[in-house]
Amino acid sequence: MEETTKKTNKFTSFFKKIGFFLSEIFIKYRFFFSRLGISLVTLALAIIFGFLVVKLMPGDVVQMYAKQLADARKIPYEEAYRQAVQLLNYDPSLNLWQQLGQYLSGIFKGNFGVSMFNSDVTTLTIIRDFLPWTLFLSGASLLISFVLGIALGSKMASKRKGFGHAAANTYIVVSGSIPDYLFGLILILIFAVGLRWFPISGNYDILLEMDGWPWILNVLYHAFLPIVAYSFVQIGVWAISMRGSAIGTLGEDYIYAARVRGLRERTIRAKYLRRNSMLPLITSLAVSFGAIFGGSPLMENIFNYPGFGAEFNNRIGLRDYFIIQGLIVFMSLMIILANFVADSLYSIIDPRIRRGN
Amino acid sequence: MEKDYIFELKDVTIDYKMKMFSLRANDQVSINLERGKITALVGESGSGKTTLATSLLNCVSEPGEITGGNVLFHSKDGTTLDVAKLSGEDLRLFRWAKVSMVFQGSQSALNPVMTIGAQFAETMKEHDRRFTKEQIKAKSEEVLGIVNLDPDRVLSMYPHELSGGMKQRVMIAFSLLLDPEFIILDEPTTALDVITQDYIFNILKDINVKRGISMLLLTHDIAIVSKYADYIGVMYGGKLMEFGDVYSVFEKKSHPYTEGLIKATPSLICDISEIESIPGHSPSFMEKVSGCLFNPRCKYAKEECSKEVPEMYEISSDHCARCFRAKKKGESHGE
Amino acid sequence: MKKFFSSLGSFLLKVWKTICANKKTLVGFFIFVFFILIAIFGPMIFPYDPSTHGLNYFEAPSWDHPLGTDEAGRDIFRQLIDGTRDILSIALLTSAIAVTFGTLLGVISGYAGGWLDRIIQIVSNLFLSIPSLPVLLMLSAIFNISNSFFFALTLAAFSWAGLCRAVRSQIMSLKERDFILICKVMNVSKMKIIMTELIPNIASYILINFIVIIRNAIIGSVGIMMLGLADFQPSNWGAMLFRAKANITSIKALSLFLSPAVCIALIQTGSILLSNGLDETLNPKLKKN
Repeated sequence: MEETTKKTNKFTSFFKKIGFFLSEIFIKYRFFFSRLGISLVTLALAIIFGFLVVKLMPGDVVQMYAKQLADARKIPYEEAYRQAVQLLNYDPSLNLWQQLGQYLSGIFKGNFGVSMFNSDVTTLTIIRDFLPWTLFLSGASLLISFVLGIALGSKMASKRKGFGHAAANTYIVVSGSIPDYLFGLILILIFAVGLRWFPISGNYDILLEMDGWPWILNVLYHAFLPIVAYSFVQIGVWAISMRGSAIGTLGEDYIYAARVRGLRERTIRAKYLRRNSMLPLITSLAVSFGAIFGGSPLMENIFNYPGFGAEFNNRIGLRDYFIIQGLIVFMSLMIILANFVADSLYSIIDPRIRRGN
Repeated sequence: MEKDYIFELKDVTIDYKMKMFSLRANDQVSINLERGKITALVGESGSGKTTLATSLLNCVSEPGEITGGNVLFHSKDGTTLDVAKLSGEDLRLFRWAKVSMVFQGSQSALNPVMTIGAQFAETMKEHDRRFTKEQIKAKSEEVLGIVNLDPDRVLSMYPHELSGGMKQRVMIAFSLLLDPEFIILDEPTTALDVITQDYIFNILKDINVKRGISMLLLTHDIAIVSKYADYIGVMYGGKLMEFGDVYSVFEKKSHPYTEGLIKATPSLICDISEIESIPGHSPSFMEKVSGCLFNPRCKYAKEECSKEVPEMYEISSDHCARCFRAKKKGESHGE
Repeated sequence: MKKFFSSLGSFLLKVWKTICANKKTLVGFFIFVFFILIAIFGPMIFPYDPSTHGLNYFEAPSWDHPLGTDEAGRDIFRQLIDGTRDILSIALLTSAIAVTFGTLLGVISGYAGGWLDRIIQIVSNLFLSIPSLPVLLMLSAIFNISNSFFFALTLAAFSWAGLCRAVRSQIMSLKERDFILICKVMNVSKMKIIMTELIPNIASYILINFIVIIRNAIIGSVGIMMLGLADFQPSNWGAMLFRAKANITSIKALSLFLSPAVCIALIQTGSILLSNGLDETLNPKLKKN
C-alpha cells in the first residue's frame, strides 16, 4: 500500500517536473511561440486565399482542360473530364468544404498544382527550374545594396557637411525618383543597345557550350546590368533607413559616454553606432529576403531574364490557373517564413528582447 | 601655504556655435579645485554647470567648443597639462585614465548590446592593449567590489537587466576602472530613492577619503552638498557667482542667489513657511541683461547693479562672490 | 458664414506658410500643382486624337509633333498630356483609399486593443505577407481591369497594411500620454478623444504617408501597365512604356520611352521633395537632429 502511493507520488512528481519544464520553456520563449502562432494563422489564411484564386476564375476551368485533354489524347470527353478532375485535383461537383479538403490533402501530398497545358510541368518543377536564377539575381543585388546602403547611410549620418554629403543627398533623391524598371530600361538603352557592351537579354549564351569558369563568367556578364539596375535604387532605400536609424543612435548618451571613456572613433563607429543602428534594419533585410521569393516580374521581364517572376508573369498570360495558385501559395509561404525568421533573428541579436524584456 | 590644486580653470569660455548665432554657455569662469576634496557645483538647470564640467575632459557636447581660457590639470606625478589644448590621441588617452565621469542618465550611458564585462574590457583595452584577460578580470572584480556588487553576476549582464541603483553603482565602478585622479559626478543620484541616494553617496565619500580621488559634484540638491562636499561653487547664467568652502558659504551666503537657493531648500528643522522660492525665472541665453546677470531677480538690486558688471570679490581667503554687497563685506573684512 | 470663411482663410494661410517654410516642400508642391493643372486643362488645350495614322509612325519631333509620333503615328506630346489624368487619378484614388482604411483600422486597432486589435493585426499581417506585385498582376490580368477605380482599389488593398501598423503603434504610445489619460479620467467620450486629440496628433504623419503611397502607387501602376497586363488606353504612360520597350532596339522609339520616363521621374522627385520637406517642417524631432 505504502509502496504504491510512493510510486504514484514518484509518477506525479515526474509529470509535474515535465509540466513545469514545459511551462518554463514556454514562458521563456513566449515571444517566439506567439510569433510562431501568428505565422501559422497567416499561413493558413494564405493557403485559403490561394484556394480561392481558382474559385474566382471566370469560366469552368475543368471543362476547358477536359476539352484539351480529349483532343490531345483522343479519348471521349467524359473520360477526359474524369482524368482532368484527377490531374488537377479539383472537382467542381463537390461543395466548397470538400474542395478545400481535397486541395489541402493535395498540398500535404506535395501536389501544389499541375499545368493545364503540359502535365509534366508542375508548380514544383517551375520552382526548381526558375527560382535559382531569381535567387541569384535578387539575392546578389540585395546583398550588394544592403552592404553599400548601410555604409552610405552611416556615413551620411555622421558627416553632415561638405561635397560628399550633398552628392549623397542628390543620389538619394535621384535614385528615389526613378523606378528600378525604368532605370533598367535606361541601362539597356545605353549599354546594351547603344554601346553594345552588355547582352540585351537572357541568363547566359545557350549557343556557346561552356562549363566551369567560362560559364560562371558568362552568367555574371549577363547578370551585371540587372544587378546594377536593382542596386542603384535599393542602395538609396537602405541608405535612407540607415541614416534615419543612425541619426537617432548618434543622439544616444552611450555614444557620448563612449567618447568620454576615450574609445577610438573607429571602435565607436563599429561597435556603438553601426551595431545599434543596424538592429532594426536586420528585420527589414530578412523581410526583403522573403520578398525575393515573390520574384520581380518587372525587372526579369525587362531583361528577359528566365527567373521566377518572369515565369509567373508568363503563366498569368497563359491563364494557367493551377500553377498560378501553387506559385502564390509558395511565395506567401516563403515570405511568411522570412518574416518569422526576421522576428526571431531580431530577438537573438537584441539582448533586450532576448532575455524577455 | 599654497593649496595643492588638481585643476586650475582660468577664464574658461565655452560657446555653442549654431548656424545663425552662438550661445555663450560659460563666460570667463575661473575656479580652482583642490586635490583630494569634493567640490560641488550648484545651480539651476541651464546654468552651465554641466558644460563647465565637461570642459575638464574637453568633451563639451556638440556644437559646443572651448573658445577661450585654460584648463590646467596638475597630475600626481607633477606634470601639468592644458586640457583645453589637448587633441587627438593625447586627449583620447587622457580621458578616463586621468579624469572620469559618472553620468547623469546612467541608464543610457551604456551600450545596450554589450555586456557590462565586455564594456569594461573594451575600455581597458582601448587605453592599453597590453592588459591581459586576467588583469582585466581582476580589475573589474576589484572595482565592482568597491561598490558592493557581485562581479560574477554583474559582468555577464546587459545594461537593461540592472536596476536603477545597481546601474549607478556599475557606473561608479566603471569610473574607477583606470584609477583616475579625478571623477566628475553629474547629478549621480537623480531618479533614485532617498535611501539608495544616501547609500551611493556613502560609497562615493568612502572612495574620496580612502583612495584620495578628487571629485566634482554637480547637483541642485543643497542638502547633499552640505553633507558631503568640501567646497561649493554657485553657477548662474553661465557665470560663477560664489565660491568657497562649504562652511563659509552656508554661513555668510554672500550672493543673493546663493541665499535664495539655500532658502528654497526645505529641511527637517526649518519651518515650512520660511521656504522662499526665488522670484522670476533663470536667464535664457538669448536675452541680454545689462549689469549683474541676477539683478532682475535680486531683492537687493540697486541702481549700480544694472549698470556695472560686478567682479569676483574676495570675502575671506577661501571665499569669494560676484556681488557688490560682497565687495563691501570684503572691504570691511579687510579693514 | 463669415466665420466659416475667415477660419477657412486662416487655415489656408497656415497651409501656405507650412509649404513656404521649406524650400523642398515648395518645389515639390509646385511640381504637383503643375501636373494636376495639366491633367485638368491639358486635354482642353491640346486635344488628343487616338486614331492611328499608320504612315506617320516614329516621326522625329517637329512643329506639329513636338515630341514626335509613336509606332502608330499618334502624337506623343498629346498622348502624354492625355495620360496624365489617368496616372494621377489612379495614384490619388489609391492613396485616398489606402490612407482612409489604414488610418481607420490602425486607430481602432491601437485604441481598442483586445481581440479587435488581434484580428486587425492578423489581417494586416496577411496583406503584408502576400506578395503584392504577383497578386496585383494576377488580378489585373484575370479581371481585365480597365477602370481607374478598380485598379486603384486593388493597388490600395496592398498599401494600407503598413500604414495601419504604423498608425497603431503611434496611437498606442499616444494613448498612454498624460493628456489622453486626463481626458479619460474626465469622462470625455472615446469618439471625441479619437477625433479631437488622437487624429490631429498623427495628422502630419498621415499626410506624409499619403504622399508616400502616391509615390508607390505610381511606381506600381506604371509597372503593371508596362507589363501589358492591364487593359488601358494607349495614352496611358505605362502603356506607352510597354510599347517603347517592345521597340527598344530602335533608336526611333527613344522619344516614346523618354517622354513618359522623364515625366514619371519628375513627379516622383516632386513627391520625394514634398514628403521630405513636410517631414522636416512638421516633425520637429527630425529637425533637432
